[in-house]
Amino acid sequence: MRISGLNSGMDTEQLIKDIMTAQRIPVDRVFQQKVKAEWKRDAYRDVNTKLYRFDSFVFDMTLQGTFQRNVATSSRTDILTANATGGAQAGTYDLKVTQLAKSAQFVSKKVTLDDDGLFAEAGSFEIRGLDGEMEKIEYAQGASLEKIAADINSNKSLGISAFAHGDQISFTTKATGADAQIEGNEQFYALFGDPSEEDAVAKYTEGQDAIVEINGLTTHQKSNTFDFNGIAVNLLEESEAAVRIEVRQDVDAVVDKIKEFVDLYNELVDEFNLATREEVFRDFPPLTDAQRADLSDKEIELWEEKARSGLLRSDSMLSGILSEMRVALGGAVQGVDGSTTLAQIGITTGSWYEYGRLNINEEKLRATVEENPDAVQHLFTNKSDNAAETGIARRLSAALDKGMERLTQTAGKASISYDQSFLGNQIRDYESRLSAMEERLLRYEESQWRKFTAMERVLGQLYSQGDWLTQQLMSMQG
Amino acid sequence: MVKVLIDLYQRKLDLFRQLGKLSASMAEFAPDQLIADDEVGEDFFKLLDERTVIIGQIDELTKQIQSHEEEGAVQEVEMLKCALQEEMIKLQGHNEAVETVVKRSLEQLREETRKLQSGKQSNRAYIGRVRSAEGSFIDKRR
Repeated sequence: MRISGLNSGMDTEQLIKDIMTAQRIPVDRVFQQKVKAEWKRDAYRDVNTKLYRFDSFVFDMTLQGTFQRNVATSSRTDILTANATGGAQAGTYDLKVTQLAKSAQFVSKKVTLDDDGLFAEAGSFEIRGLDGEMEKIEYAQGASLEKIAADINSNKSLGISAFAHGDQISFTTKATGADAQIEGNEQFYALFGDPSEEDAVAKYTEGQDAIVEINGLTTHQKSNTFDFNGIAVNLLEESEAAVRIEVRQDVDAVVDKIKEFVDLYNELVDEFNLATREEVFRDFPPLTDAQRADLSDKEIELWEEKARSGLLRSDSMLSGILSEMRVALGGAVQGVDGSTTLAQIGITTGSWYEYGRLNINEEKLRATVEENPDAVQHLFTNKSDNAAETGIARRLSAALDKGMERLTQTAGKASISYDQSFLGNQIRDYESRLSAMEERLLRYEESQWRKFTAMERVLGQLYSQGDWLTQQLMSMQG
Repeated sequence: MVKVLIDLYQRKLDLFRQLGKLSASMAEFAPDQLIADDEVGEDFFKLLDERTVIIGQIDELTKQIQSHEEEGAVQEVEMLKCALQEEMIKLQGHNEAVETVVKRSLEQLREETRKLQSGKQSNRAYIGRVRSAEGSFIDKRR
């Protein structure tokens, strides 16, 4: 039980509150150190995430496919369209579309239905499915032709689209080509008509292949969409005239990719430079809970903005990573025809005050990509055990991997539940120190209260015993 | 029967003398030791408890004396009463001295607490900085 200055008249409550506030100072300092360590860890992790994103992009730059992009153009897009896929080779092709591929189609006779256009009796028929097996379609008394069409359309294993109108129904294969067929059983033909009969109303049109002459060679294609030599062709019309497809290197795509690479690199350089040069405001340490309680949300926001500023100022790890990135990009890549550098393709390092940003001479870059695409590809992608022959994208990727590893060792990763990084251990150490200090504070406060309470109690007892004594004396005198 | 009354008064006088001795030794405690040394504090509280027990015994005797008071006064009783009064007056002095010891201890405890607090506060410049920073934000807003 706490007796707060009842007998002495002291404001014990306030006295102990004040001393506890003073006692909290070292605890607050450790708390602030912990918060700073957490912020620094988060700042490193943020950098790591950015490096990871850039590394993913750089990985693309190590692939030959990134530089071997081709584009295909058709001279008559109303007759056919063409798209270059990965394996397309530069060249020209003349195509003549003699015949388009078609589906097989069956159009029924007028089906016998009742006055309401429904089947008077239940029944069934079979159609051959895609797996070659006959599939049974059943219909109930009172079913409509539309119901049969819906059942067929929903049956994926048939590969047939059906359409009913009035008392007729048509079936069309989803696939085109000469192999596409519609075949029913006896009940099917009895119900919908047999086209082979004389004067038959039901009609059957067989499927047909597309016939395309490519550079003088006649080819049969089962579909109007087909690939040849890495070109995806889509036939639209038959034509007497030949259509020219031209496949050439997609200079724009390569130039755009290199420009994007430089932009992302510069973004990263800017962020690194900003982080390592940001001003430190030493008068703005992290706020304690008690200090936060005294400030408005806006003031807390402004304060923390300053408190977080300069967390990575002059950070040697970040500077080291940036230097390694610069070294990776700066060196020449040895090849059969001598060495190539970024400067030779129009990418140069900016002035000293740009802190390592890259500048592009787009005209020069475009001209190099057009004239010597292999050299550009070699510069970025070449794979070799010899460092001097290794492409810059590979060198850069290695520098980024190394940097990310160092950052992970220092700050860990959010995805790892038990962080054993340097800062992770430091934060845990701060936490255990804080917990011990809080415990000590609590004990100290209790001991202070114990002392004051005990003394107050003694004083109270003495006062009452003094009163007792006075009474005794008075009774003796009385 | 007067003998009983004399005996009761004698016992009361003895208890008051005991009380006086206890209080005198309590008054000799150094205020700083009382708050600094737990063992000293324990001894002090032990004496205080003993005092309380004796006071209880005196109250009991007083009740018994009151029931025999009608039996008539004799000179011996009157002498004992005088001696008792003297002891009570002495005890009052002791009691005040003990009160002083305790008050000084409390005062000392408060002073030590204050010293500790002001020592810590001199290192606590950043608390002031929060306030000045509030001002700087307000300046910026202006």
